[in-house]
Amino acid sequence: MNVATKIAESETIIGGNLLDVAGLTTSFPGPGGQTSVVSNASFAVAPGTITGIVGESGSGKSVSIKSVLGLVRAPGRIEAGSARFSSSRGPIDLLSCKARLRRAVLATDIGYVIQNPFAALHPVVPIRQQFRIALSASSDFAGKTKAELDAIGFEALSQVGINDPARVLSGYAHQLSGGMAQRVVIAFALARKPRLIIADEPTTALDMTVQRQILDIMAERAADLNASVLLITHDLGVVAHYCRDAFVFYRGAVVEQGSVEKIFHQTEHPYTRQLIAASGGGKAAYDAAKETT
Amino acid sequence: MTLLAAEHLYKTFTLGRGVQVHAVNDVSLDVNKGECLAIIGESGSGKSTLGRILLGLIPADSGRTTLDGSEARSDRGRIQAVFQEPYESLNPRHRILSIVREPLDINRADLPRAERTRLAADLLRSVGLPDPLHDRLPRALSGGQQQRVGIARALVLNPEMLVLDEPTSSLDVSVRAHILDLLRQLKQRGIAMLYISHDIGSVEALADRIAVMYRGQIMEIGPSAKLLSSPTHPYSKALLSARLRPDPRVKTAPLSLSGELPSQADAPLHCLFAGRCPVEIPECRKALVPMLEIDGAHQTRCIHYAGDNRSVNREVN
Repeated sequence: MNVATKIAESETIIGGNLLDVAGLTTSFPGPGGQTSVVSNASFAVAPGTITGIVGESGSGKSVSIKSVLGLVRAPGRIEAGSARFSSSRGPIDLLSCKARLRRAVLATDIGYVIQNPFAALHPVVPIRQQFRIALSASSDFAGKTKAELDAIGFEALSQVGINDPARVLSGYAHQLSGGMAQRVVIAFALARKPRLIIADEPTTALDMTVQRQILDIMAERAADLNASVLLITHDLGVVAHYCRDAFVFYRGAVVEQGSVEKIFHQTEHPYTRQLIAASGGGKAAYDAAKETT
Repeated sequence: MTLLAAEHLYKTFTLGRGVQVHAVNDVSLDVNKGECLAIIGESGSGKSTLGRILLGLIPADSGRTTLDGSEARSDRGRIQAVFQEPYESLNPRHRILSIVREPLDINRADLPRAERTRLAADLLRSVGLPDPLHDRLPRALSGGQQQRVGIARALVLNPEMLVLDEPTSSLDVSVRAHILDLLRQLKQRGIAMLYISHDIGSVEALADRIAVMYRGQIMEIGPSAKLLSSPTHPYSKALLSARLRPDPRVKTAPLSLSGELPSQADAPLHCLFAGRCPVEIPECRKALVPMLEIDGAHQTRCIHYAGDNRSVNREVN
């Protein structure tokens, strides 16, 4: 069964979206008791598209994603909400399902790319070994030999624009530049042929030119796999260029959502308008931002 | 009128096994009084090393820096620094008022302590930090407020010039807009700036002139608006093509740059962009290319702009 038919099947069940997060509320203890960091946030990712989540530091965008992935630990608490995901095992709610099932689904269907590749990669385990571990966590790769897993790793690395995959596979994370390390992490995420790639500020630490190269590759490869991408970023240039839809987070809530065209050209919320103006950088845009802040 | 002039600066770092990295490789530039010169380039292009040399934080291997025509290093305080990570650059155990007063405590010990305190407090207010914040520790401030402290500290000795190394890159966009606003006010007060950044948006908002650095060399230098709208060097074009504008209707050209920044070890004695350049010709690998004048202040280090090659250049563009 190919990905397209799998998705078509599940569309009838969860309203056409690959991931549908509704009413998410996550709290952490604050000075005045448990405080909602994300309150009643809803967002969705359509199959085969790139969706952006935009917001500044502290807007709740990363906490939302961590909630969905089961990475919020005590004293943080998910108070309410659902995250319905059309997994290869059928539709599940990532927030209410058993941790074991969620882990199995994450290992097969969802790739996760974080901002700092050196935090994602193990410092003293060779890349080849890390590939084997990441792949064998997925039930799709159970029973494959080491040689087969290594071949998949080699292929995945060459597809993200790494010229000498054999050398990278036998090396360690610290031998890589930031851009190369992030390519390796993206190769990890893509090698399992996931349905969804969640990338949380994947290029924020990188140069502008490397950012373009890496996002281009991620977008192309996701399209090849018919996978969706949920791209969390504070860079509106990235959203405008790569995403079809976007959700704007402000103080833990979604304040604006829709197609990128609508968000940038029929902006409704004053915060979004301010954000767009402030990131223009040119003198005119900059002056406009100053007036609204 | 020239405030700071640098002539033929070189700085080489030695890695293990005698590998030499040419971080700054024959850089000459000048900054006029009250002018903002931006240095743009990728990580590893040498722009921060250049800033540190101009600040006198590290010595150049060779070359000369002059301030108002005389050797620059004698008069401390005329050039001051603002760093990228505001928190890392502030003493975590000092209250912000004493952080800003410290340069006065060292350099202006002739002033009574109350006067130094008053000057520091005035300055904190002028960069937008009200009195209740003055006895806080840096960690109690937001990133934007911390950067304001860094700017106040740089201003307290009344410098003629600031060297700002990526001052906004760790800040959110709305905070960045406020810091840029503050920097523009300082520029209007006549403070010259060397603004090191890879954020083209903030460079556009602030700079009078831009220098593009690649592998330790300036590849192109020129007036800001002209360089941004019609860059001449293939590397400048590539760098600017990476820029993503916050508007889905602006169709961005594909990135005209492949591969990563090569190692700077053993810089070849020909154009340093050869190998990644989309318009490379055999002559590019024959000799070092000097800075070639396009018009007046606009110069480029591309062989296609040499006198005999102007026709070639028209074709490749």
